[in-house]
Amino acid sequence: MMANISSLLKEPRVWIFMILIIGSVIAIAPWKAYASEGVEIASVSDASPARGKLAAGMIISEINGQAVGSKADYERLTTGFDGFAKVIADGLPESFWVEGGDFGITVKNLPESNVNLGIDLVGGTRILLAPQGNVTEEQVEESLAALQTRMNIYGLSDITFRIIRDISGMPYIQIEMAGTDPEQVKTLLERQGKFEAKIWRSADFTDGAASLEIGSETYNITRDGDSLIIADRRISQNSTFELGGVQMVWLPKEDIEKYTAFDISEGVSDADRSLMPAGNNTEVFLATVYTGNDIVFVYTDAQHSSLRKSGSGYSFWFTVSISQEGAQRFADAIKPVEIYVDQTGEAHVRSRIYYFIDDKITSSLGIGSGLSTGIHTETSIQGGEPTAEKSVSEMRRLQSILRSGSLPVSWERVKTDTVSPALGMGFASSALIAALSAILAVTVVIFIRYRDIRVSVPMFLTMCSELIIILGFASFIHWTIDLAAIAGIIATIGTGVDHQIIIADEIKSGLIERVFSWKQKFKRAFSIIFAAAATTIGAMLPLMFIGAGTVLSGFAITTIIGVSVGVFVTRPVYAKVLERLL
Amino acid sequence: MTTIEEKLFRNYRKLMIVPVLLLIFSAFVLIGNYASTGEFVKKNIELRGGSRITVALSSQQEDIIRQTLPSASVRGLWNPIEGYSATIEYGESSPEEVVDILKSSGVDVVSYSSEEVGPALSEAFWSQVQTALLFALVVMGIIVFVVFRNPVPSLAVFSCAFADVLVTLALTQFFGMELSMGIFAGLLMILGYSIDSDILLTNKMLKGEGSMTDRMKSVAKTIFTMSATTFVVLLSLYFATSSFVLREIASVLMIGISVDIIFTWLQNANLLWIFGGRGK
Repeated sequence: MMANISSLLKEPRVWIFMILIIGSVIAIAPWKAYASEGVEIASVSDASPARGKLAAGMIISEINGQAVGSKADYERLTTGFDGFAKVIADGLPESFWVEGGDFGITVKNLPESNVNLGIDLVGGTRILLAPQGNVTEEQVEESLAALQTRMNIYGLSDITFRIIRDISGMPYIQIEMAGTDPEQVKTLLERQGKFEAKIWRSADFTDGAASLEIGSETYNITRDGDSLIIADRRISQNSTFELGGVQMVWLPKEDIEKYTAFDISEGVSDADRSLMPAGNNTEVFLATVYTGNDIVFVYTDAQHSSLRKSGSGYSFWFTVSISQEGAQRFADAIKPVEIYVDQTGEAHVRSRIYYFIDDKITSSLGIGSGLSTGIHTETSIQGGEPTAEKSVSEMRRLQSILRSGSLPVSWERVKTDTVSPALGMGFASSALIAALSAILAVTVVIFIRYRDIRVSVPMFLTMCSELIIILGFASFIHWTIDLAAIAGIIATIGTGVDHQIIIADEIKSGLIERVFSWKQKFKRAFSIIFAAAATTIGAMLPLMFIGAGTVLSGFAITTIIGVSVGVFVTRPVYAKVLERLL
Repeated sequence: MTTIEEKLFRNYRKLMIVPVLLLIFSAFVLIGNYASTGEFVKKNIELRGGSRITVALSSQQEDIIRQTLPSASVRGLWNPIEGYSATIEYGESSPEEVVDILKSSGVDVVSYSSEEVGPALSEAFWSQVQTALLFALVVMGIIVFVVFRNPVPSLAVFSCAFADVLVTLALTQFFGMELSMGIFAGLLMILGYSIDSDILLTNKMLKGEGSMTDRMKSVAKTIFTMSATTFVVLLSLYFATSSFVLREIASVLMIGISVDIIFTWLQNANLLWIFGGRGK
């Protein structure tokens, strides 16, 4: 027996096997389940009071003297919290002021091992986005970056993005997130996030002629039937043209009503003299002063933003930093406009600035007289909603859209799967039970057939080792274990058993006949096994490339890995072991 | 051959009718599908597009659900592990909305999962499935030929595998399972499995020692053990997991393995006996 074992150790494959097993156990790190208590910070939003003090990855173990052991604890301690929060993170204390339970932090439970469980197992939502129209590699990367930024600012966290390609080369973006509300994602995705800021200018006509000043230049306008001739160019209604570096559009009279209506609903009255003039001898133009490209920085901190009660609702504002070119454009467009004083004695420029997101007006602001001179690189975006919650939500939405810029391509949701956490949790534990009970059941069958521990025990150990190695490999490369992977693992164990049976039978028949040498036995058994592995891999190969976002690729990859590990490492080792024992 | 063997041989040949009957049955199922839906195969959401939510319930509440959502198509299910559940296919709303509507009508929803696939994507999936199947069949054909290097057994093995997949598919359709990506993966596994068992069988039958019956007996032990263990693995998977997808895959594989046993033994063994046994 000892001689057999020592000869076993001389086989290189046995050493590889040992290394793989030990490596896999280390990779899986099952001792993590018994490690320190706490919750891990998944993300800290930009508007969080803890910004700069706490960061993702830190482990919170205490809040205001109370121990935090799980996500449930954290939620219990933080909901509706007002006041000074003292948090122990990574062993060190940090404190900050919190209002309304808004810590701006999301947390997740500490992992019990290194095995990364997918949403099928812990609950969550998986969304697949497809681009509308043709798209380049760069555009996909840009979109991904933009979407990630939006998610972060908006406070949605614990989200993973992945680019998946299917066999036709079509790129998809797959989003996986905890929580089961795909609607949250909808609001941020379906917006292209095109941002524009426009002010209005007017030109009064006398005897069919008028003039428009942009910057230091004056441009002549004459009427010509239904069109205008501006700076020697024929312009018709609604068409865009450029004057002095500023994009302008001639607004038809019907459209003026829309803007006026919007302004009046915002509380701007005629008496303020800032509404668009609608007389017959006046033509109105919209000048685009900023676009998304001009936004340099979007402030989200408390010093540059605020929320307060205003009238029957809540209003918010936040500061945005504009580029020099943008600021210059604004100055050129606004400089020549007259200044008037309103009823309260404040001086304003006789115009308004309108913010458009995706071609829809979201705000209309007056322009203080101070802005009419000099170059101003900071402006504020404001808005209002009926409740404080909606107001904050709208502010975050605008901040995220402005900060991330417009998506170069628009994306549409083509597949959505949600799994509620209760369901997911059930899968995880039941999957483990399934694997273990399968292994046990098989061992029983094997024992009935062979009635020989020397065959059954090695088989049992080989099956377990294949399971460990696959999980180890998955942990090592951070492969997410989801339903598909579990199915693949179980399929591998199933084929593994079959191969071991083939090996066992060949060896046993060899014993009876004593006709062939060990080498020939192996050759026969393994040629069959290789062919079998080839068919399995051949069947799984096409599955790796189709069905973006479905179970297929995970299943295929896990099965292929499992079968390869089996055929090249674990099953040959099993064969050698049997050879020595029998 | 001895007289006993001759008797066995003749009777055994009669059993070849079973695979033939299965094939005819499968044809009926698939043609029946075509007659009622215009497609040979009933597909699930992933392959035809739509939205579906699966709710786990505390008791049988299908009828209340049907009343609350008259325009949705509702199917009730029950299994010994989880109890009651229902799959609801609905139109425009979001899964949360549907669950809210159900809850406010008194339906006790324990948990739910949902799936929504756009029409363009599902069409893409369906064509990919067909391409993948073709690819797999070609690869299998090549592998089989490389292993046997002889057209006769190669053809027998390949047709057996193909028949396995066809009959398994028909049976799953017959049992009301809609073709999904998971089931498709299962069918491809059956393809591979069938070829494995056929390779074993043919190898032994044509190259083994002893009489035909001896060879068959020895390889039978191997193959039956293999099938039994795989069956047991799938059975434990079926009962131990609460996942609908995994259970579907387990069911397909169990059906497939059973079909494979029938086809491998009653068709191929016979063929091999006939072709290989002559003159021995």
